[in-house]
Amino acid sequence: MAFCSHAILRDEIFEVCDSSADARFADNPLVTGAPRVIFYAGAPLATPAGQKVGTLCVIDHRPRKLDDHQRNCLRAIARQVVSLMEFRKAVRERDALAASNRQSAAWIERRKKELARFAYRCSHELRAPAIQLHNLAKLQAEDLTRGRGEDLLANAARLERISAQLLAFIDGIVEVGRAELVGSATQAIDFEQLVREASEQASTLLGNREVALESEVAVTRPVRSEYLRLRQMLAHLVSNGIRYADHERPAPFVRITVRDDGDDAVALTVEDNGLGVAPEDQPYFFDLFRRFHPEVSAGSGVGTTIVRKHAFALGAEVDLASSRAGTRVTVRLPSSPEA
Amino acid sequence: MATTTLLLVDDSDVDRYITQRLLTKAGCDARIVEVENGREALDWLRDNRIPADDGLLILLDLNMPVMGGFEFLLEFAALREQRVDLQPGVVAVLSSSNHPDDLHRSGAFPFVWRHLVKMPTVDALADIVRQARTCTGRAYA
Repeated sequence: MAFCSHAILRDEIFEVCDSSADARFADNPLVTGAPRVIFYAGAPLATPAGQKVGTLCVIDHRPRKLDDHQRNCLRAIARQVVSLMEFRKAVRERDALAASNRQSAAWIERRKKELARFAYRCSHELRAPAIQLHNLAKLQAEDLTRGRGEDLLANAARLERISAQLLAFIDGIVEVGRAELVGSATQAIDFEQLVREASEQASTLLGNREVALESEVAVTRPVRSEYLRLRQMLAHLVSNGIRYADHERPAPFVRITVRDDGDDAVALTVEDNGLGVAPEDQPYFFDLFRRFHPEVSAGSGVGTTIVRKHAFALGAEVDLASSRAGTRVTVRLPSSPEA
Repeated sequence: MATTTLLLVDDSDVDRYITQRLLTKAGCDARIVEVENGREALDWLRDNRIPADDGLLILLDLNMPVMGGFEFLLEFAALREQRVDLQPGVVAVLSSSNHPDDLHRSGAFPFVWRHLVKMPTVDALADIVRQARTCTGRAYA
């Protein structure tokens, strides 16, 4: 047994004046060979909580005995060592706390901006159609009094169209709000099931549209995540692929691929050969109520926003690549060892 | 006889329709040209000259695809420097936005006369059309 193992068990200094004459240590390799510990004095290093974390010792190659002054010095230096260790630990803890504070401050800042943008978009997207409804109703009354049946009918058609859009917006807002609350238990993700269910959910959109829905799952890595969030994300991405397919092209497709990515992630990719998003629109891809092909389909404009919200909640990165050849959205999920 | 050209810049066909009806009620006799965004408005202004006695009133929406209202205002400010016939032209912002930032930003341009929040009253429209008519190239010179 090494000298320090004795010393750490005690509360006081452990001193061996001549180990060659001490039955406990005489044949110890530390005594018979290098570093030839003939004299040993060790003070335990105890934290303020009383936990012993090591020893501070002095050794010599010849027999010695510490006097009182030397013993006091050794104790003082041992206390100093503990103080330094405590100090370094405190600094590390403070830095970690500051970093986490900075992170939450950045998070709050981000949420505030998001909320401001949400309020602004809502005010525009809801005010505009409400104003139209209000004015069209007044015009209809005028049409009726003047006996202008055709105008009246045309305005009724406008009312119908606008109120349907307004309803879609309201549903969209409710859906975004709900996305915050989707949170479910983290579980091992079965990607085959995920892709199947999300495809089913999105394919109700297909109708008689000629879009091929393809998928390939080749994952070896375990991922623990929130299933519901992932399914919603995937369903929205696939729906967008179907909605904005380019029917001028010979074989429109939406392809889901799930593969290992790098050393520690799984990449979930939704790719299409659809209309794509223009470069100048791409910075706004994930923005609320942005629709890039209103002439093609009046989506509610919330799909990508929900994708981003879920990705944020799951610690996933989302990447957009889009051109005239199509769009590819990649969601990079951190892989975790199976618990 | 001098007329006023009214350039109605709005991406919403319904809003253009409502504005047209309100303008009719306001007794507006201006020549109305409809375009869907700032880019189309600029194209029209580049392709057309405003006769010296005529007025030009641009009713401008802010939130539009391709080129929005603020971008248009910047481009129009530059075009106006080169084109004498455009100098009497005035802009009234006609937007569903009542956001203070939007009011402030559009108000920074000297040729932006008003910020009307959709939809303005018939009287407010009649008023601005009347004012634009008096502001012709000749009156300026």
